[in-house]
Amino acid sequence: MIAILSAALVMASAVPARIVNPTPESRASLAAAVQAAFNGAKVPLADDALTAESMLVIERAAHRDARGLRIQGRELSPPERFQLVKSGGACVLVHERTGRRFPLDHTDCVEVAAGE
Amino acid sequence: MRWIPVAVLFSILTSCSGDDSSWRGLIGKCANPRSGVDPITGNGYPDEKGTLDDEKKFLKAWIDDTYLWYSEVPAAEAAQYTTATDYFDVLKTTQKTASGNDKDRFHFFEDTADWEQLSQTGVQAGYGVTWALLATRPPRKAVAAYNEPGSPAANQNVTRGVEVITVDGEDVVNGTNVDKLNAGLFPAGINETHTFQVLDLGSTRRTVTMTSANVTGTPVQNVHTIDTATGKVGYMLFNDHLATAEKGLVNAVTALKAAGIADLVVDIRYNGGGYLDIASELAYMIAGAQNTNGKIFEQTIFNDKHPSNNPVNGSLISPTPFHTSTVGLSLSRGLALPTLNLAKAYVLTGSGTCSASESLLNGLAGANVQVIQVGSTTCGKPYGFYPEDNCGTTYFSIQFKGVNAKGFGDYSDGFVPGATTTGSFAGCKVADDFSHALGDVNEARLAAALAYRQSATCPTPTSSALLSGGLSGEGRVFKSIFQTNRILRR
Repeated sequence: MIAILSAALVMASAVPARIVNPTPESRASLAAAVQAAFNGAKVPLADDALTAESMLVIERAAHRDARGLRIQGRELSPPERFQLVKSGGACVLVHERTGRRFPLDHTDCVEVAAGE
Repeated sequence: MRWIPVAVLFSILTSCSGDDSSWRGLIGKCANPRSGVDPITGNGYPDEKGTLDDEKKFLKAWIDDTYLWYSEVPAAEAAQYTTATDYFDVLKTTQKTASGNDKDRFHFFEDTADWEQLSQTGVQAGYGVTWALLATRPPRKAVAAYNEPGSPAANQNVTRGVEVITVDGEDVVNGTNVDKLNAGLFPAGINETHTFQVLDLGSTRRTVTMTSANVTGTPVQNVHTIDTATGKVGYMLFNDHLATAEKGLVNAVTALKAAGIADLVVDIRYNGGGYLDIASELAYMIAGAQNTNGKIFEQTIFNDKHPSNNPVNGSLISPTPFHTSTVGLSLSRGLALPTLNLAKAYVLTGSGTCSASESLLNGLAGANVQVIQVGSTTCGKPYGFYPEDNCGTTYFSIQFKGVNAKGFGDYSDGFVPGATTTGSFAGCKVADDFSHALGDVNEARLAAALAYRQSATCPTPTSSALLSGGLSGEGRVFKSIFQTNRILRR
């Protein structure tokens, strides 16, 4: 019961966050978390991913035909989204669709200020 | 992006759709079944041991049921084809459009593993420059169309109009080693370093070395206003219907609204589409509530076997509305969208203006917003599909057509600026002008739009030779490493 209450309190205190002072180690941790969310598939990320905002959006890479035109030019389904939250001092990546949570090692993050 | 494969929906479909078509029972019967887990769904592949004939039967049944022009597919003896993909190639209409183009130019297949590659939205390996290939065979001509802020190309000042003379010592114009040219211009991954001799617009030759990186595309750029005697004109370069464009477009419209613009120029000459919801959001932000009230943005129409339900996911067919608030692609869902409330929009187009970008024009027209089109003919794709994986190959076969609030969607030959045919827009045919920056009032297409705004007349067509260095034309613009063919050719 205590553990459940603790978890609930931690969840309740989770706030949207962004990464500060990214390092090779923090980038590797973020990449590993996203890779784990997609069952081992590698996903290219920008070096500054999640440093300006708390939302990380993942799409299918834009494929184009021989004329250079997007193959899927009318995309009807939504992308995958992750939210970085600060929870009990930890930086946690939350996969929106599945609710899975991935604590990020070697990562510093701060609460996203209103209007950011 | 479709995260739930059709196979997973079978049980839902069989209970909610009256048409339990045979292709659903044939899917996943493979000559060479896959094993393991689909990385996107986390579920095991649905494959079981079957035969090549099973794969062909699936294709035939799937096309018969869901292809928009199923009744125009010529008879083909499946046994004559040695692979499923060879057979798929002929399972399409052979009819032509009014202008003589193939009616179906979008029939396509790809390895599922390649198709399922993911990336952070807008991130891809490269230098952050989009090349325009004005001639792909000798004498070739490759110039920069635009670059991404902060990218390796931007840092080396490889800006619009910069012409590539050599790649790693190979002559672009007449060189014979096209593999070397393609490898240098279009790096396959990060940390590839290549050296280029380039010619700046000022005719200065210089050598630049660029190393590829994961570059984040900025889909909405160069948002600014232009002062005219009849008020401020807003300009935005909108290059891709990426998820991040939702935020970019909201910020752009908010800024232009605050600036008090009288008119707007949307530059989508290099925008090949993407999320249809983004097009709807932008259309609403341009037109506003009064123009769009009670109207739909785009209605999806499947073949006549499926007048009510989507044959792929079983849902009732419902239109894409004019979204009045964010759908939540890169912003929080449900935020009220800013509006410009314009009765007229100026749109700069090219041959790369395609699909969801064409929906923007057509959707605005459906809401009685006057569209002035300046540039060249758009690609002509009022169609879409749900990619279908079977046995490790993902197939793309046109399944629906999009029409606007007036029921119009017949633009398979593209929108032609200034044409007078039904559904066309007033405007001017103007070649792409690589001798000026995008958003520069002297850039030929923007200049023509501004002039048309004043006098409703088009400029005298300018030959390529009269523009700086012959840097005009249409060319093909290449953004991505995911290409199906070589790009520069012998």
